[in-house]
Order: sequence, then C-alpha cells, then structure tokens
Amino acid sequence: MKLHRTLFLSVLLPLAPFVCSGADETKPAVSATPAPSIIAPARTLSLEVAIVRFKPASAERILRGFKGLSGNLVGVVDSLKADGAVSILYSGTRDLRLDEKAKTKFDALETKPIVLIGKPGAPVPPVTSYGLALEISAKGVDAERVGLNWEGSMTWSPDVVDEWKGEKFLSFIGSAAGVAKKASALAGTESKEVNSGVDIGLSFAQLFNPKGGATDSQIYEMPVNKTISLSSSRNCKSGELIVNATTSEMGNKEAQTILLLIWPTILP
Amino acid sequence: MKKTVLFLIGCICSTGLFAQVYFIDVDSLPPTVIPPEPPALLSVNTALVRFVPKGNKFMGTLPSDQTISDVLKALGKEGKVNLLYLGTRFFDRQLTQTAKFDAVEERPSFSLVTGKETTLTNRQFGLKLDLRAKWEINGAIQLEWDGNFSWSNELLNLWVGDKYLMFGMSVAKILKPGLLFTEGGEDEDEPEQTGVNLRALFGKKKEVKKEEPVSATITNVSFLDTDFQSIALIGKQQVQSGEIAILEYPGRAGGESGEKIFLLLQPIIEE
Repeated sequence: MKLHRTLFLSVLLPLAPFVCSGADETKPAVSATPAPSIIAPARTLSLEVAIVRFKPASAERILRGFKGLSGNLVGVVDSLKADGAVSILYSGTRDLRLDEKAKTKFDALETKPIVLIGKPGAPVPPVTSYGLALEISAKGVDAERVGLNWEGSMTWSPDVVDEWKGEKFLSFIGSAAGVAKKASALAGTESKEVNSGVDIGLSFAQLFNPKGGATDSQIYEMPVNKTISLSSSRNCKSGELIVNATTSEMGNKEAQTILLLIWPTILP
Repeated sequence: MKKTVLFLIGCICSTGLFAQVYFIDVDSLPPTVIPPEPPALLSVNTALVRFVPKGNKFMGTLPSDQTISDVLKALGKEGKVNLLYLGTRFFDRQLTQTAKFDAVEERPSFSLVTGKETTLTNRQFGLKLDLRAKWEINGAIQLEWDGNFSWSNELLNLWVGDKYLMFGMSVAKILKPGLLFTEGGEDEDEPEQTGVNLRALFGKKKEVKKEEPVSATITNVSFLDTDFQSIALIGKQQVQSGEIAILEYPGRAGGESGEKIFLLLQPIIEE
C-alpha cells in the first residue's frame, strides 16, 4: 500500500506545474477594462407612525388580537371603534434616504410642571414626560423589502386620556361602545378635597388624589403613569401595515391596549 | 470500505518545487451540519397571567401546543385568571437584538411636609423582561429571558366587570369590589357570575337570562399603601415555532392559597 502511494506521488508531482499552467490557460478571457460600476440612487423611505390607545367595550376583544387590521389610519380607527374607544395619541410622518445609516426620530413629549402656591419650602413635585420617544432605523433588503428596527417607549396616563371629551380631541368611539366612555370617567370622592387645602398647579391638579385629609400627612399621588417599551425589528414590504400591540395592566384600570402602527412606503 | 481523500499541496519557492500530501480518513470526520436558512420573520407573543385556583393548586393540563387563549381557558376552568400583560415583539432574521417587554406603571408622589418626601417610596408595578432568541439546528428556537415582575394583590382584587382582563369567574361570585371571591357552587354556568364569561369568549353559549353587569366603579387606591410583590423571571427554554413555553412561578408567599404567576412565551415563525 505504501509503495502505491509513493508511485502515485512520483507520477503526480512532475505534473503539478503543468496542471497549474493548464489552469491558467483555461481561464476565460477577461476584458482588461473594468466594467463601469453603476451606483443605484438611494431610494427614499416614507414612514408613517401612529400610536393608538384602544379601550375595548369588552376585554374579550383583546384576546382576538390585532393582526386583521389593515388600511390607513382612518381605516384602522374605523375598524377598532366598532369594538371600543380609540384615542390617537400620536401621528406623524418622516422621510429618509435608504442609505447605510438611515434613521429617524418620532419623539413627541410633553410635561406639566407643577407649581405649589402658598407653601413656601414645600418640595417640588416630580415632573413626568408623557408621550412617545421612538427611533426607527431602516435599510434596504431587496428591491421590494426594507428592514426596520425601532426602539423607544411610550408613556401615558389613562386618567388624563380618559378626560378627553368633546369633538376637538382625537378620541373616537362607535355607537356600540358608547358605554365604554361613561365607565371610564375618573371616579373618586377625594379629588375635590385637593382644592380645599392648597392650589396645586392648574387643571391637572384635579386629577391628584390626596392621601388622607388636610390634617394628615399631606402626601399627594399623581395620576397613574404607564410606560411600555417599543422595541422590535422586522423586514416588511412597501405599503405593509406593521402592528405592534401591547396590553398591560397592573393597577385597577380597565383593559387597554397601546398599538404602535407603522406604514412604510418605498419611494422610487 | 474506508474512503480516503488525498490532498496535494504544491508550491513554488526560490529553492524549487515542494509538495506535501495529506491522507484524510473521511469516515473519522464529524458529520457536516448545514444550519437551516433563518426564516424571514420571528414574532414572539408574551403573556403574563396571575392565577388563583379555587382549590389548592391547578390540577389540569395546560395546552402548550395551542394558543394563549386556550391556556387561559384551561386555567379559567379551575380558578380566577388575571391577564396582566399581552404583547408581541418581532425579531429580525439574524436575531441580533434583544426584545424588550417592559410595561410598568407608577404614581409619582410627593409630600407637602418638608423633608417627608425623602421617606416616600415611588413604587413601580409591572413587567420588565428582556428576551433573546437563537435558531437551533433542529429548527427549534432557543428563548432566553431575564427580568422581573412586581404586582399588588390588593390592586388586582379590585378588578370587577367585563372591561377587565379577568377570566374564569364562572366558578365564583364576586361579593363586592375589594373582596376576594368565594366559590359559587357546582354549576359553572350559573347566571349571576360577574366578569368575563368563558362561554362568550370561546363560543359555547347557554340560553340563560342575562343579568345586568355590575357597574364598575374605579376605586382610587394609593400605590403607597398596597401590598407589593416581586419575583425574578430568569430562564431559558427550547421550543418549536407555535409552541408555548409555560413558565410557572410562585405567587405571594403566605398569601392567597396557591396563587401562581404564569409567563407564557410563544415564538412564531412567519414568512
């Protein structure tokens, strides 16, 4: 066996240079002039983002999920309001070029600083920023699809949103869910006592709930703040609606879902 | 018969032509495994459920191969179910990022008494959960999670009415808001139940005269006064697409009998 290997080698080794040279000769003829590289112009991606709070007339609706939603924001609101109350907390559009570092922000925060009058030396109440902080980055996957990555958070107070009344608020409700709005009104007999002790801020103070009476410890709690993280990543087609739903309740509020809606549109 | 592969490596240097021959026994090599092409999209449904059994513990079987609604239905047959979190997050093809399922709530507080505010606690109730996913060679998905969950039994016991994510109440009667339920008898379908009816949820109907639902009064409860429970959620598990990882954690120690917290994770491959 060893002898066979040695013979095999002795035959092969002298052939090696020929094999190498033969391989060179069989190479296809390549033009010396390099082909001009065609740089396709970066496409533009238009992003429409909306944050919707959905408060179902019956909590069972949330278990059915939201995959069936489609169309534009008007269509989504029309579909949802048949099953409950819909509040649009944010709506915005951004355009970005689909290059290597394509990203855009959808931040929209608001605060309500609170001033205590007539209480020198009293501590400054905490200030909360409500709203959306969201950054979306994008990159082209192929001619039809784009990869989106989003990171951020949404903070809102159910107590504040439930106070939305009237035609000028972005709150929608179907006739079948008419009871929902009534039930969502803020209750609590203690709220009127806020004004009896000391003036706190502006109308926002109406939502404060003092713990105990005027002679007690005078500890005030602000309305409930809910914060959810919004982080995901996915490939999608132009015109496809992305629905990112989050339902969360740890306190004693009724069921509600925050829907992050993204409509990407690839422009030529 | 052994298969042998001969490698001939030749090179030319200044001193001439050299060659080296290697014999490799193919049979002794480990099998080459080509990992499957990652699918286009992975979504993970996550739910967090508080369960208080009517007996000492849950005696049934939870269907890990069905939907999260089916798991709630199975739990609801044996007690009270509070759905505390339900959310979906997407992963990109490479599964590079960590999905966050954070959802917390708080009531910032302050005191008008100087110096008092330093002693105040500002409690945060809710879920903080980081989830990572990894493709396995057998087509399964390895999930790894790390986080914690904080809740108050006193707050959750205030849930009354069909606008709350509360299930399984067909076995119990609500006395009044703020109190725990008691068992309502042998007939699960008794009409005076309060809360979400599993029959309505899952399509099984019975001809009964429906009573007016209890009008829900949203009680205002201080976050500073309520009990505060917290557990760590750490672990990893391999599941197939569509399968639900059902993780069971003990509820409040020494509290309501048999209280459990269930973390449900369901990865779904979508094309």
